[in-house]
Amino acid sequence: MARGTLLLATLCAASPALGNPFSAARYRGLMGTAVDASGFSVYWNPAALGTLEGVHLSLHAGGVHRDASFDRAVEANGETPETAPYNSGEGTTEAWGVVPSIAGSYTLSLGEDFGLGLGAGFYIARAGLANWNRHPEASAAEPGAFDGPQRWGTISTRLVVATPTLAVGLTHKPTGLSLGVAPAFNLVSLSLNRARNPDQSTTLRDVEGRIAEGRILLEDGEAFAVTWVVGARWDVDRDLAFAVTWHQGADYQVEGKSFIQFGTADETTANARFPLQVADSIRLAAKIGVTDWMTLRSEVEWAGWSRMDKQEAVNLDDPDRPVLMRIERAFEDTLAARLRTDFRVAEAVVIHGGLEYETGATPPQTHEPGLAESDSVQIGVGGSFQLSEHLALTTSFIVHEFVDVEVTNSIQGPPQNGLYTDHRQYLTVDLEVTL
Amino acid sequence: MRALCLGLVALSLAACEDIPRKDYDDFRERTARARSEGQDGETGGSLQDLTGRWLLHALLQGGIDLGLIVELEPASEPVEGEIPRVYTSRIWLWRQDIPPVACDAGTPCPNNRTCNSYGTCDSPPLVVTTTTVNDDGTFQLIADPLDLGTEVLNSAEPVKARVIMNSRSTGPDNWCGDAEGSVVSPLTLNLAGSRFSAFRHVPQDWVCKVAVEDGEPRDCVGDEVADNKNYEHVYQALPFKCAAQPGDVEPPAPDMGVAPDGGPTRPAAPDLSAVDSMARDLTGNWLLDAKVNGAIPLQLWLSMIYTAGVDGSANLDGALRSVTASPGTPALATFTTTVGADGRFEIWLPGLSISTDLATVQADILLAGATLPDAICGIAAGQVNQPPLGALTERTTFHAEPWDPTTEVPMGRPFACPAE
Repeated sequence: MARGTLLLATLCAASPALGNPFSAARYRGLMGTAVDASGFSVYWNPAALGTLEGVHLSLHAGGVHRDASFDRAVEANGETPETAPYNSGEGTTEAWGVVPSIAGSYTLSLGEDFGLGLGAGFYIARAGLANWNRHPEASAAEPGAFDGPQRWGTISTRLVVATPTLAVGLTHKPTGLSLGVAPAFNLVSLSLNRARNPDQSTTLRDVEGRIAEGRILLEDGEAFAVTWVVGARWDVDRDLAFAVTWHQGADYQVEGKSFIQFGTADETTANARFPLQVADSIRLAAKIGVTDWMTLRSEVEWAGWSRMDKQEAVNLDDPDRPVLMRIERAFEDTLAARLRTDFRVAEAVVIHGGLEYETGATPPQTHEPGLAESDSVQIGVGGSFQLSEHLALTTSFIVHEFVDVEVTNSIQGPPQNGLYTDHRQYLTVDLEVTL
Repeated sequence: MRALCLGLVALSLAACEDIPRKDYDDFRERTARARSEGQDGETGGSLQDLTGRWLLHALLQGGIDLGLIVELEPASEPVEGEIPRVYTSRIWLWRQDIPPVACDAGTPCPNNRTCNSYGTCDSPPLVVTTTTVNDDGTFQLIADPLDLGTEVLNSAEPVKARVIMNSRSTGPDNWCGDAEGSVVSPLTLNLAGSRFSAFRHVPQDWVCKVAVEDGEPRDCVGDEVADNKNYEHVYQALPFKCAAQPGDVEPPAPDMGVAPDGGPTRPAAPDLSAVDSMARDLTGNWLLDAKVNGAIPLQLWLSMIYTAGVDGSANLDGALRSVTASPGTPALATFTTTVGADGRFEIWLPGLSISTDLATVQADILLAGATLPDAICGIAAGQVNQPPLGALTERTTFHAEPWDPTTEVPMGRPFACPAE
């Protein structure tokens, strides 16, 4: 329970975004790539720890604003003139959140040829707090409509993957080659609530006029898994570096209690298990010092989201493990390409610019308002400021625009055909203390 | 590290709200009244000979429509002049042997099916059990386990249930009652409150008809004969619950307590004595925020003209409009009342009708209000007739503050009198 309380508390400070999907890893803002060398190398690439000197302490606060909408179609979802006022139309969500994280490292020399970096951190790599707007203007004739037309996909969700981590990196200075590894101890907490009928329909009333609409709540689900971050880095010279990392994915088996309220039936409860798949990802990055005042950094990332085929909550109280709820995913692997530029405009001031394109993991047929992402573009600006000999500030502002998606072939139950929009902005503030 | 983790916790807890749990609880609260209504009363039946085949139409919790075939056969050789009391019960899904396949001694049934006494083929029953009928005609028909297949819930896995049908025979051709038990797989669904009714039936009753939009159903042709959907009308035409009997508790009348003279009965005014109130001019436009039964928010534009009298009391004339209405729009309701010297008043709004883009709410509402230094507030009594929410609880409260109706509607305002 203590673990759950910790996760719950952390989640409340976590991002409202369910991105990449549900990625919250924006440590060091536009500086955050596999070639970054800072305290947050424990996340980005532990191989860089051996290239640092002395003590690095990194503090991160990532602010997120998200506004998204889902305009649920009428005929495409089988709604009738009688049910459409309650089950169709636009649902919206807008939220702000802050993701705090911390990391640090200590690097020592092993003779003249080797540098050994030891690191530790506590970060929130994936989080989501989706809370769709309520509709107090909805008719009281159908009590469920208060939760909006998107309620058949989601009403509210809380998810956090909080990760204490350790890391070690070793650098061979004569060649510039570094290797690093970091075990990540991932603690998952998940709660979600959505409208649900036993037959996966959006029926509001039975033939007798009794309320048929129901709800399913998965509360305080928890899981734990150890994953690994493995990285390599080659500093060819001061102006040229290459890096590659592998972030291991996981199939979290989140276990919690489900509460089910179907229509006018008595409430039932069941211990439930809900899988949460997180992709492996591989990043290839390069840093090129073009001139004394300009550096280019580029990165490509592949993420194996195809491992998220579907999510089935199963009833643990039944030895046959029957399915309580199924959400089709059929996610696809994603590719992202990032280009960052750094302009040193003064001895202590570097201006950053960034551009990114990422393919979406969610095919149209499995889009739903709870967890879905389309192709997206990010553009950002930022700056790094050496405030003193031992203290540096990095801040970035990033606009993240997702392509609108019109879904007409939903395979979800109930179907989630309609128009989806998603817009996010991030403001990151990072302090780096070096001793 | 631990200290930092605890720091995060401390920073976060103050603003933390368990939103999924709150949403879930709010929904249960909004639907609590609906769950408490409409349970059939337990009454006895009459002892009948139930031998034969029955088509059972059930409406299970969650809006699940279910048809079953039940065959009751005396467990022992019937005694002349006595009504059988113990039956062997066989239960099938209604669609298991649709369309009926004729058979006789010379035409055996295919696929492990058997030829029944009606000259059609039967699949093996889902459940075979023994049923004993009591003296008053009541009996329990227990189907455990009952495998309902996948179509009932449109699920990927077969639906399994434990169903206890508390039945009573109402005549030679009908028995009915309430069901209890639960669907146990793939999901858990408590069936208490489900209802059913069964009628005598022979396989030849299955008639294949295709629904025609805006017209009478037509006979099936070709492949339509093999489509189960074209037979559903046979059992869906049957009622799924017992007919009302003398002594049964009647459901609330549609007028929900309208007085015999045709006018709604004015409820007793809620007690507002705990709220400090003092008279003052209430003339102006007000934004009224209310919460119905403590759960359903409501906003209205309230216009009032306050005319003070010599004895400290006053006349109060007013109108209610939608907050989205433009000035000049006809009012939803108008009223005239008096305000006491202590600023307390009652506004009786019988037959109040509030139309939104989604639906129309009809209610008979009494607002008991008090005058605060900068607002008015109070408690509402009465009942909402459409939708049939019934009597308002004492948690139906309101709070109104001065407002310019040409400006945006502010949100997040109080909806009740301030706590003492």
